[in-house]
Amino acid sequence: MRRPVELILLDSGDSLRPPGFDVMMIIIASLGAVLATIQPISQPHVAGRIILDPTLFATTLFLALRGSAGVAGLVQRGIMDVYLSYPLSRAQVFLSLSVSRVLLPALTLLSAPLIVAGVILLPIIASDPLAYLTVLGGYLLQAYMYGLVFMLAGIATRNTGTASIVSITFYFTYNIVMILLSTVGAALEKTVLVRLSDSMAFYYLVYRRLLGVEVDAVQMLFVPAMTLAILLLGLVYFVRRFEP
Amino acid sequence: MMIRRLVARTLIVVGVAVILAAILAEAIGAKTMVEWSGSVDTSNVPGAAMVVAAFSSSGTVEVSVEGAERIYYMTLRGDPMIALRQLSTINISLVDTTLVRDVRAGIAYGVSGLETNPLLLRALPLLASIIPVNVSTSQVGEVIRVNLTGGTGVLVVVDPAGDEVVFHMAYRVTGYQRVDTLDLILAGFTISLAGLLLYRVSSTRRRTAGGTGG
Repeated sequence: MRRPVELILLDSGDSLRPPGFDVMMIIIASLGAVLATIQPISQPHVAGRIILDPTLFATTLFLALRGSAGVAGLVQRGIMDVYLSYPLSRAQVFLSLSVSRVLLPALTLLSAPLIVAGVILLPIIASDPLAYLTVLGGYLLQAYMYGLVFMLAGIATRNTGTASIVSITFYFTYNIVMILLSTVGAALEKTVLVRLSDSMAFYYLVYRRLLGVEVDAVQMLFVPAMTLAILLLGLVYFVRRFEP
Repeated sequence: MMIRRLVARTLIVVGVAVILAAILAEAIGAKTMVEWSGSVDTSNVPGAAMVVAAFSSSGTVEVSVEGAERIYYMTLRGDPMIALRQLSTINISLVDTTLVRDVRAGIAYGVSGLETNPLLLRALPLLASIIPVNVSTSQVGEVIRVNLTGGTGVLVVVDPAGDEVVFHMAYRVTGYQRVDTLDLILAGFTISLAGLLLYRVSSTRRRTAGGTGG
């Protein structure tokens, strides 16, 4: 258990290195400050949604660069071989990279504006901190899912430029499909399409649940199941791709 | 060491953003009261409507209507703007819509003419089972008062008495509280200072560890 943590810390030194990461954090935290200040937000989950909506976009772009192109760079520069020479299984290396390249940057970037808003709106957030954190959980899972796909793109393409393009293309395609399903579903009055579109945005369903709107368990499970499937697929691919 | 430096960097950023928030709060700040009036020319359309939707704030909205024969109102959950567009599914379409999004008050509001069969408007209370909202009938001249929370709204539908319907809306934010500007500046400086100290301590320890190791 200690060795994977050491690899996570070692690789995080690269994935979270300044000034790129710090500049992104400053921009996102300032945006959180602006959004929390200029409107009279009076519910913790509403505050979470308003602040994290634009933050998810910025976080995803960052993951596409550091998570995807960064991993491709590790392969290109031969650093991956050094990581693989550690006394760790291939699965442990993959899972450690998914933490250092995806989970940790996403958690930090999503949390920074929330902490800022938490300080500004302390009396509101303190009334239900669990709802505030639940919204963060919803966005974090969505970002983790995107990040896993980006990481896989980096490992598969082994080229920093191609990995970034593939990742950003995937992100926009995913969102365009979501919008199309919703628009076409509403126009044709096919609720199944609208529900499918909603299912693709886990953070939105979490928010709706907090608003008191009833959401199907099947819809809620869509993104978590997809994340698990991508994680397992990535694990198998990584182990085979870097067979000793 | 890496985690400590990351926490230190995050604290510095958060502190600076909190100070920025204090300056913004003083310079711009949120609105806790909005009053607005809008009219709909009903010489060519059989109905008029007003929607008020809270997207980030909670509060009490009061709507009064001039020039109405009958008034119905419905509370909406989810995105009220989408619900408004869904009126087309029961053959009610919007014409000459005016929509205002007031970010500083955390609400959106607007008025619109309604193109439909006049009989359908009068039958609106019967459609409660089709549109999943509560439809109530208000007396003409009576002020409609509804409590809104983030993600909810109210739609007021009017069967006009003449050629013009005038809506008056007053929205008062409730439950909004933020930390005082001075306290925000103090908190910002304290958080930044704590981050700088933590960063300094981690850098010193790293240098010391490097020295003994080498």
